[in-house]
Amino acid sequence: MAPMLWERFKADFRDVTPRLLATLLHPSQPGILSHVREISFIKSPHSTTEEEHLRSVISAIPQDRIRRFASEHKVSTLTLQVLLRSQHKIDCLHVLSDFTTPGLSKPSHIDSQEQDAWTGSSLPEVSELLLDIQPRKSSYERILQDLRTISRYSPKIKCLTLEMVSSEGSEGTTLSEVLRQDEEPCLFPNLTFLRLFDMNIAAKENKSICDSFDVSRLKCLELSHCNRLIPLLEHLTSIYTRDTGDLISLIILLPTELQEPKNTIKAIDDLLMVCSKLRCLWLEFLQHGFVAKTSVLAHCQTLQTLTIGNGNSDLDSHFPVADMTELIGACTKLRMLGVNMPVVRAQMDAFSDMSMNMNGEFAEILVISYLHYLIFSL
Amino acid sequence: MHPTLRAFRILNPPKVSFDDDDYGECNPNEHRAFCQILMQDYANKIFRHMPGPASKLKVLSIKPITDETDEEVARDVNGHQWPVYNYVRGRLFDATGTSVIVAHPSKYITLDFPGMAFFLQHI
Repeated sequence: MAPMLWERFKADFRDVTPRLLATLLHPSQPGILSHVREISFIKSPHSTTEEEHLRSVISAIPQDRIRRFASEHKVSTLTLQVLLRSQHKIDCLHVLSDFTTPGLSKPSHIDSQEQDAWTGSSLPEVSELLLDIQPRKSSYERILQDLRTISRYSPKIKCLTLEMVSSEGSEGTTLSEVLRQDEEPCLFPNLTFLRLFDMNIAAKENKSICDSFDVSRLKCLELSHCNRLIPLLEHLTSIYTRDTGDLISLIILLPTELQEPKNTIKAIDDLLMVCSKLRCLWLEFLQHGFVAKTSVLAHCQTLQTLTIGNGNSDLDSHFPVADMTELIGACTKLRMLGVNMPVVRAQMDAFSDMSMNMNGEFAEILVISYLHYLIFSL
Repeated sequence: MHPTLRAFRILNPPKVSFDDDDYGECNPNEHRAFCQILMQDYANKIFRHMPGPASKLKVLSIKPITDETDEEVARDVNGHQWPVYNYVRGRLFDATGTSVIVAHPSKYITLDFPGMAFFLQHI
């Protein structure tokens, strides 16, 4: 029988039996793991036993086979080093690890500053990286130094995800504060996809993060649950006012506790009006409102994915129906659409009213959306 | 019908309530089969409203952006767990031999449509 060429290995290692593990790792069964290119370590109630299983699997895979490694868990430095020691061709690394701040949470021989250069030099092929920033655990200087190290050793990084892990005492930290002493050229010179999660980006009085990242070449920008994003948006707007730029995907998910919500939405509106090539627009503003219809219409010739939501099902919390109808009609290349549905009672008169009052594709969807909020007469 | 739309996702959670107060609030566990039928009917209607060869709508996803799936809520026989329901457009022949558009439940929609995984999963 021809061997199965399994290329993706995804596991949480929950309820692993000795027999199962033996079958998976047994040298006489090389077909199971020998073709694996991607490893995903998925979420489960974490224990060290599960990470030991992960290390066993990593060590059973032939050298330089893995291209993508993703973990929903924080992996230890040891696991990361076991991985990087045998796999030098990883191009996508998604880990929650202390490896940008080694030695600070669990000092040991392998969690040392001396390992920095070694870890960095193990990442030559990485083009996609997720990093945790933990301002509570390490100084801003140390975080910046680690970013510089990785930037230097991983010149191919195109997609960078930075996630700030807040803890007591670090809630007010902004990314621009962390980068404030950076006098060197831009980090990650080939960056085209920047994702910032759960952080304050910049206060107005701080240095802009645009001095440390070249945002003018970004193709994709994702700001998820970030606060203080107006200076970054304004900087991008000023770039696009002067030049056309390359941005094709913009994803903004606002946090519940947003500072200056009106000004933030205005800054997003202003940016949308000047960058006109978007293929993907994803806006999730919760209770803070919506952008103007004209801001989205500016991209109607190119948009393939459009998502406008606000995450709840209150009666009046959807994008205005008439505006959405116009948008959908105008976006002739649209392939994926995500919206909040209006809530309508399942009554025949409401059904016929909607049919009569609205035209276009969205109206067709709305007419049948009456079931979305169903009042039963039982 | 929209000529190019392939996937449609509803971002707010569905709400079901009854006119008669005696039935109380809809409980996804207690009314699991009822919710399944309700959402199936809803999905059928959406696909049937976009019929014909010009419609390319293939995927319907009801996955709230504030998705906090309760592990305590049991899955229905389609593998769906309130409030997340995924369907793929298909056809069946009814008893008279007439072809009708139906929404096929999909348990692993991102495996069926890996190219749409980001759109269908992102929360």
